[in-house]
Amino acid sequence: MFKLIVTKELKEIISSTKFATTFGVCSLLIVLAFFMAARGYHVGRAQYDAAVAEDRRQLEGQTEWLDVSPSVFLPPQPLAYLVPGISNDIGRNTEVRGRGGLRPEGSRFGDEPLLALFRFMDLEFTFQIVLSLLAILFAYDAVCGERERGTLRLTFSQAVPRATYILGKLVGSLLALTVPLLIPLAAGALLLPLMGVPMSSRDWLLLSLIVASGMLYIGAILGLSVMVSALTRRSSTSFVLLLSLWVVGVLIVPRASVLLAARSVEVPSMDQLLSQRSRLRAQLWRDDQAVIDAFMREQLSGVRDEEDSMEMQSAMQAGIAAFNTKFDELAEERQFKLAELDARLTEERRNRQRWQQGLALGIARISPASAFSLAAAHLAGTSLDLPEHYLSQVNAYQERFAAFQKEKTGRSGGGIRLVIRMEGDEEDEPGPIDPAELPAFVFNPPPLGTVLRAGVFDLSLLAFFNLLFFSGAFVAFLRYDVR
Amino acid sequence: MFRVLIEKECKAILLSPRFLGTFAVASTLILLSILVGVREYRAFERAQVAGAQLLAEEQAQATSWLGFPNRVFREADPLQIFAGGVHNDVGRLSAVGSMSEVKLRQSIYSDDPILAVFRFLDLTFIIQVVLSLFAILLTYDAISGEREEGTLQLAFANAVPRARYLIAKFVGTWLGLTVPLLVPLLIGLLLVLLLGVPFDSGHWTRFGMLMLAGGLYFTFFIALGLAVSTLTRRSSTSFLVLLVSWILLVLVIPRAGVMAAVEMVPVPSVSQIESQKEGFERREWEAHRRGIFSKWRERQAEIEAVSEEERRDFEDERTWAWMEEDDEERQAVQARISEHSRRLNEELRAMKGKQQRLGLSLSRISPASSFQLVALDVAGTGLGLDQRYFDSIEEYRDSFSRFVEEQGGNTFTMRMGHVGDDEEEDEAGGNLLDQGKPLDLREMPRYQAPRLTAREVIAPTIPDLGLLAVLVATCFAVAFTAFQRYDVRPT
Repeated sequence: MFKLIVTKELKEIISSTKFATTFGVCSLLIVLAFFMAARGYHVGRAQYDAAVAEDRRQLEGQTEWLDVSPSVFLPPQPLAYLVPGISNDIGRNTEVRGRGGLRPEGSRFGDEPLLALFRFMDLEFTFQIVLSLLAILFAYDAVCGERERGTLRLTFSQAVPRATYILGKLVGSLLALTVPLLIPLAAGALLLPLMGVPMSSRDWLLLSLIVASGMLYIGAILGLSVMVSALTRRSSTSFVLLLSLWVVGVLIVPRASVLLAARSVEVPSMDQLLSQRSRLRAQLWRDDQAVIDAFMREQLSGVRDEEDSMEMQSAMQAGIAAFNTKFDELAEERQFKLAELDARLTEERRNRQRWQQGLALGIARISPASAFSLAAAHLAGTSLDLPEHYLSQVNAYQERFAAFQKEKTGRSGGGIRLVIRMEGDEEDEPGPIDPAELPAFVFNPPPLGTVLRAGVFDLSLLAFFNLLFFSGAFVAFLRYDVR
Repeated sequence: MFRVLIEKECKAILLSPRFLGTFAVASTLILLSILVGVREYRAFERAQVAGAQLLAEEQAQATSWLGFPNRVFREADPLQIFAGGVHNDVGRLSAVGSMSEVKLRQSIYSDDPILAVFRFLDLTFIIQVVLSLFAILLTYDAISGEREEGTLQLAFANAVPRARYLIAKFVGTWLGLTVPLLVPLLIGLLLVLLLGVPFDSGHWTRFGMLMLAGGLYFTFFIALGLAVSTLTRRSSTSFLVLLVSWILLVLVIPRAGVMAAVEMVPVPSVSQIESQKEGFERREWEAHRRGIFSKWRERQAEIEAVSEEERRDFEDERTWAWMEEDDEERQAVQARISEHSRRLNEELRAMKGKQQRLGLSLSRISPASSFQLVALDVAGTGLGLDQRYFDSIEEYRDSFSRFVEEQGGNTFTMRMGHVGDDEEEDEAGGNLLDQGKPLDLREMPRYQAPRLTAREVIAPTIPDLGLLAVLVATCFAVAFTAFQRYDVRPT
């Protein structure tokens, strides 16, 4: 009997014109989303390569490793084009110096506001908005529509337990909606390698998990629709109710909760942070200036006393070397103090931010739509963890770069150096550096375990929503008046 | 008869539970969006003012024009409450100095990515996405539904011309849907005023334009619903057709148009351009350094032969002229660099402009993007926002650098030139590295944010508004012709 009900439900949905049209539109959207992602990836890749090449080109003709401050860029990730998350909003370019705090700048949307204008049409959006609407459209009259048509009563003139009936209904409509969608999803996924997007096995795993979370999300919406249809008598009421719930759950709850909750937790602004930092730097610099001043005077008076020009020159060279060492020492000390302040300030800000995020996202998660988009963003590596992860990678690179500079020149970069070239210096002017020697920046995505752990919570939340709505539908139907 | 028909239509809509449900949702949304908007506006204003204060403190402590901290902050505009646009994506501030490029940095979203997770909620979004959906929901069965119920046949048992019936239907539906929505809008507006957001006459005009565009857009969806329902026999078909066209018009076409334009007109990324600029700058300074060095050698060669005493005199005589010469050269290098980056900027801007024009005209196939473009244009948060600030900051930067130059700001090299020669001056307190009294900031030019005048804003929106009006008229004409031959029988 159960099988019969499932088959009937499947056939009813799949053979309807409603299904043919909407399925056509959705397939188009899904394939288009993959297509756009592949194209977007290539555009991003080309821009990234051009930026890296241009940065390298700059090094040509440089003679001094200490003058080099390479820029590193956040490389495009294939999944980020399917589920953009916040990847377009964060700074992606970082100028790396041997020392000092680093700040990624230049967000994609900031640089190209045209893209920020209409930000739809990715896989996440298709699932979150379009497919959820579709699920409502197919299930809003699951129970009350059958009552209106009288078929519900007919069904129960036979020996069908209610529990079997409603379960068959839920399973049937779930299968009818999700299984056909696998076709355009598979076709779209196939487009990625065909269009030359490098997908690692890790990317495939994460992509399938993203799709799975999308299916869970559709399941939740479907369960909700069946539940509402089992709670109402007329299908038009059920539809209006569901549409209102959809607007609230998909469009309002996520946005409003974040905007309201995020603003109710005070986080020190970036301006405050930067200004505190620059004040300390100015202070330290002023203190050091006095020291340097005295030091330089002393050195210079020594030089001036020399009569012979040769001796004067060598004394001068010695003076410069001493100056540079002294300056290095001071700079290192300054750097240490600044780093200390930096660490304290960013730590403070980060803690506040974490608390703010916890609150805002916690409230947003009442809606399955936000649970889905958070899960997808975590899995695609475009969640709020991305900027932190990127920064930690850049910092690691900075250390490598500083070590490299030290190895090449024996001194650490940054600060001010005194280079005075004398007559006859031309010969021992340093030759150009070899840009190929510069250590390359490689962006490593966070380990799979971390990503999965981050996604698990929202995935299980979605599963919980499924369970909740399914059992809600079940309970509501047990007492439904079939007349 | 006409009035009766309109009245009937209004009542039918107002009394339906469908309307009640959607109206409640729409009103909540409108009020919520305005509340959230006001909060965001205030937060932005506070952040900018605080930033400016911090800057003022830094400036008060500065002792040298060399590396003098100066930044310019974007100003909050009350209209951003209703149409956020790219406001959150464009940087909040730009550094200003003769050596630094004008670039708006630190957008709200990059500073606080949490706010970017689910984007924002503004009136434009609600009109564009939610109200259009509601318009469809309440009009999809206007004709086909009445036919199914048999009321259409009944109505035409009376002596009603078809044309009049359809016009009454349209007017009645329009009144029934639009007038109630004015209530939450007016309450929202009142809220904005009560919460003390400054609104002058220019703002009112711009807000009026925004509402006009919103009204036209909403009317378009009513007309579309009516047209589709006269073209179909069954209300379920007409709903399906409308839902699909809504998805395409509102969600797909705008984005697809932009993506297509990005494909067709490739534009180099900003980071690439920046690297180019930096490279040019570095090469220029390197050449400059070499030039100075060889010149110094020449000068040394000139005085090689003479005695120590004469050399002193000779140097004393020339030092100033040499320094002037070097300084002029330095300024020339700086001019070349800024000329070069200006050229690059202009090229980039031209390419971007081409891309934008193409993308926007492609996306204008959909009235949803026409409406959004008008809304953002009048709110000043459209694509022009970036450019507007860029131009005005660039202008300010020029006057600021002139001022600094006049103050003898870039004296670092000159002071270093004195080293060791002027014992007296050193003893008189001049330090090698500047460390002096706070500067006199009264004369410093101040930045004036660009103001949008109502007239400037309105002219570019006219084509879009015209387009919307044409679309409304087309839909209505389609409905009108189709209805003339509509089979009113219920079966």
